Amino acid sequence: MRWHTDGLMIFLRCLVYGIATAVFAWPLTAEPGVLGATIGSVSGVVIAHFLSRSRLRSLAVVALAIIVTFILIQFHSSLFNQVFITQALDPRTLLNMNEATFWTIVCAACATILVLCSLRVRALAVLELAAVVAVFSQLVVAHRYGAIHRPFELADPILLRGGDPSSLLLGLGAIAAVLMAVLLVKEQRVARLVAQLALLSAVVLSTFFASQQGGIFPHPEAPDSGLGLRGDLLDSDRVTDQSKTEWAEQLDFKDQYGSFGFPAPVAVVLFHDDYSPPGGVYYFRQGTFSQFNGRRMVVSTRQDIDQDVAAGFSPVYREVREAPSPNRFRTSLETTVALMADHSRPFALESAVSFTPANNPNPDRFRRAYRSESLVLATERVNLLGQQAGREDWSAQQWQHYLQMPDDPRYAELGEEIVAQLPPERNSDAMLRANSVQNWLAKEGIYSLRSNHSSAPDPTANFLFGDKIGYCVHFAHAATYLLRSMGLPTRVSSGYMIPESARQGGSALLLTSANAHAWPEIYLRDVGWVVIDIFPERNLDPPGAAPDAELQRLLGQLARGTHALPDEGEVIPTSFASLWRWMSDRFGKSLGRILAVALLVFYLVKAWRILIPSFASVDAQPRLLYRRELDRLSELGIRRREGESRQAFAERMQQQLPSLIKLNAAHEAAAFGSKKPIDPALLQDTVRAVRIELQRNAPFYRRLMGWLIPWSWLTSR
Amino acid sequence: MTKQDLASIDIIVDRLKQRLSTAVRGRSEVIELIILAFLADGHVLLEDLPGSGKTTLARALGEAIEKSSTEATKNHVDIPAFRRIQFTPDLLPSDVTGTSVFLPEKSAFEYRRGPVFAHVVLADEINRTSPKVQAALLEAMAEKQVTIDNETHNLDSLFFVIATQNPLDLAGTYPLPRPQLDRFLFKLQMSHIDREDELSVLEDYPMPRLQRAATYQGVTRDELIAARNLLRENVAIHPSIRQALVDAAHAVREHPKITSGISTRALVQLLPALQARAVMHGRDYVSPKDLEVLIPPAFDHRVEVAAGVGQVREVVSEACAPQIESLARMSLRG
Repeated sequence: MRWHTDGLMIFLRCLVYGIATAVFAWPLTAEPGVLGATIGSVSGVVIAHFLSRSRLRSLAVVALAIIVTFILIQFHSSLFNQVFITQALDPRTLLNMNEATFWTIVCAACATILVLCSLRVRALAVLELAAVVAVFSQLVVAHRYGAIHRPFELADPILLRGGDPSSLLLGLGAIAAVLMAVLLVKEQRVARLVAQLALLSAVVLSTFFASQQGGIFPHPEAPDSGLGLRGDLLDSDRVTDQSKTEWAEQLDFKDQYGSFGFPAPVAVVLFHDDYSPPGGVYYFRQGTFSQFNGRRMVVSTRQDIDQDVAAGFSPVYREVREAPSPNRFRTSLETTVALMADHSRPFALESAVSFTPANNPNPDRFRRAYRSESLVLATERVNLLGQQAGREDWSAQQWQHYLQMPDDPRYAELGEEIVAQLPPERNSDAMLRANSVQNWLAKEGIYSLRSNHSSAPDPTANFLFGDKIGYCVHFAHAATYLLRSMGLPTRVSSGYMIPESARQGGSALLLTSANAHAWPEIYLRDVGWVVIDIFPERNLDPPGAAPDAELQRLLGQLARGTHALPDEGEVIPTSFASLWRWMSDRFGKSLGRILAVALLVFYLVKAWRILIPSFASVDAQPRLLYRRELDRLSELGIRRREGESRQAFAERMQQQLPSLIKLNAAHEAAAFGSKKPIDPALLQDTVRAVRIELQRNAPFYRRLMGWLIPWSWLTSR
Repeated sequence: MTKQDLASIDIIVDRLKQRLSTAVRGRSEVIELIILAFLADGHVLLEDLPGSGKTTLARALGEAIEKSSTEATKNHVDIPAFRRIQFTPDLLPSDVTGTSVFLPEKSAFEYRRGPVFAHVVLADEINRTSPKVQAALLEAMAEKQVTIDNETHNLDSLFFVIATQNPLDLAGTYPLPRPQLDRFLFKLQMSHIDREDELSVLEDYPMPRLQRAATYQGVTRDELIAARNLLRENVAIHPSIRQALVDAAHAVREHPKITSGISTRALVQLLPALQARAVMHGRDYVSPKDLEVLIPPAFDHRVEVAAGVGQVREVVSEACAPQIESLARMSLRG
């Protein structure tokens, strides 16, 4: 019984260690290395189980394992540096052998030490568990932050077949949880077992409910940066009673701009046509802020202002009310946007003309999708020189609206100062004035996500006439006030800004939370709203992470609703029946072959043990004949108990098989040095007697069944 | 030839068995072990309640040793077959070993043999006497000699002690220390006999059993000595049996529940016992079953188990089971 439970434990350990080391070694080495790692760790487990029963001290074994490993690795590296080896083998074989042996040695040593510690000192079992958990965790750690295409080695095969790698990772987690539960059940002490199972179920349940909150695959969140992109309700503690329903769709000055950590992907944009923006930068406008509320720019409350952005998501095709009319400066461009994070309203390349809802190509991955048509600026800024500011049909109130600003003379003074540097004959040009403000701010301002202006009554003045350290909201406000002080209709827009280079020549563009941005715009007659963005020359912050081209391409494919990777003509099975067929197609044949060979080997051994007594010498006859009869007994389920002597077994069976005692005596006489000569004839008689007794006691069908059992010789003792 | 020799041992065993089982009813296992110890030249400690036939058993064994005419010339001719020593608190060592007596006619001391000079000595209630008397007897048991006034007197080589002690009434006793217990080959426990046997004891009331036992043929001293020697030389002990015995001893010593292990002497004493058992079961080799049967009575009184972990016998069997198992596996490997 003890042996059986031990065997089960060894088997389970081998399984867990084999899988864990294979997973660990996979990204680090070639296939022979992975195989070597698996073999090494499994043999380490077995070695440790045998060592744990020995009387060697644990510390000594651990030290010995480390020393032996060190020596083996030294020997291994010197061996593979030998000239005769490198000459004898081709480089490929050499590399494979090198990797395989190295990983075998290292994994065997590590597994031996871990398992031995765990077996000898119960408390150290936690090391084992930690190692396995760490191996699997490092596997999925790359999967975070929406990087669904990582780890490549796991995700690629699934993506190739149009599946979702997250399912695989969840499945792996489930298997790990089940294995942990089985290991815990093996724990003998009931009290501890109950506590641990309770803990495990608590972890599983909390994971389950946590994932329920955001769906099984949590979606990234749009930046909560005070740029008004997310559009959820404000936190109740930040909202006064009368404005409880106010949306967070507003610009906000923050001292510590929400640092995103790793930029989470929030949307994918598919370009239906090639388009290079004049400034080399794409601007996706979502919201506009043109009303001055005494402190900052907010969303206009007037119905006749800023109607060139979508009011919200619409279930049907909807045109933007104040879209620019087609003109010589703008060209039409269609894009498809697939949102991964919730937004308060759709965004599009400036300036949007219409929005059409689209089918969500992958509901697991995307929240929604829509098509947008924009009239994008297709001319260099120099061609905009000479355009007048403002629109002809604006009323005085509208004009007034776009010129609201703080009652602070310093803005106008600074504006004059900046414009004074322009040549006098051109300094009334709107575009040129905007350009000079832009250049001045870029030169004088310092970009940083950490600033110190939000507590001031006018944060913009505090920024502009103070240390000039701020981020896009500060720069956008400062530029707006400066331009408005010059009489140019200006507003702040927010959305996403991304350089053209991020497209990397493809038609998909991945927007991440790091691309969230706010920028000033001026209105030019016949052109529309033109982005006047400021790129400060000095930056106090470290550069952000480079965009992930692979993920961009992959998400682009998903957004298109096509296979994520080149189709290999295989389809991931979904139903159980097709899964079974898929499995049996791939593994059925080889598994059947292995089983057939194993069966053949088992029957051959069985036949060998039946036939060999006829050919053996007289001396070996008693043992082999006795063994043959034991095999027959084993077929019928009659076996000696563990720790029982053979004679005691024979005596126990005396009722049914009286002749077994004689046969056993003959066997033991030969085995334990009796000087009496062996009488083959008598031996044969005894065997025959046993056979007859056996036939009398067991019905024919049972004997036939016994004959068919291939492994009976394995269980006979 | 060997076979015939061993058959002669069988005859002796049969005779002894017949006499003993006639004298005492329902004790076949104890009788077998006592004859076995007798043949193996080891002493036996019986632990039992009063009136359970210990003395009868020992006396029957002693009386089974007959004198033969051919031995008349030898010096052991005057050694009695059986002596019983009742151990009491006031007993002195000289009451056991004998003493020197001054003879006025010769103006010299002469040694008078004590009751220990006998083929079978029954040491009754050995734990009731003082340690020095116990020590005197135990020296005799170990060395087969007694030393009086710097003079050593050899006991007969057949010398066999059956000591008894009562496990219940322990007040005012001197329990035997472990090193002295080590000199006994077996400690045997005799429980109450069953109903049928007890009834037959009562039915035989008119004719005492010892007298009836005396009607069967006994054995002579020389036959017994010859049987002992034959046994030693002609019963094979396979090396694996010796290894298993040593491994079992190691396992017992290292068993976490056992605080004091067994001596090498115990193993040496056990070898002839194994051979004797083999012969008594008609074999000329020692089998694992012999080990399985004899290890518990031989090891029981020699080990000390930690407090509260259970019965000695179970712990010993548990410690030795792996050796029996490996022996069984080994035999099939060839």
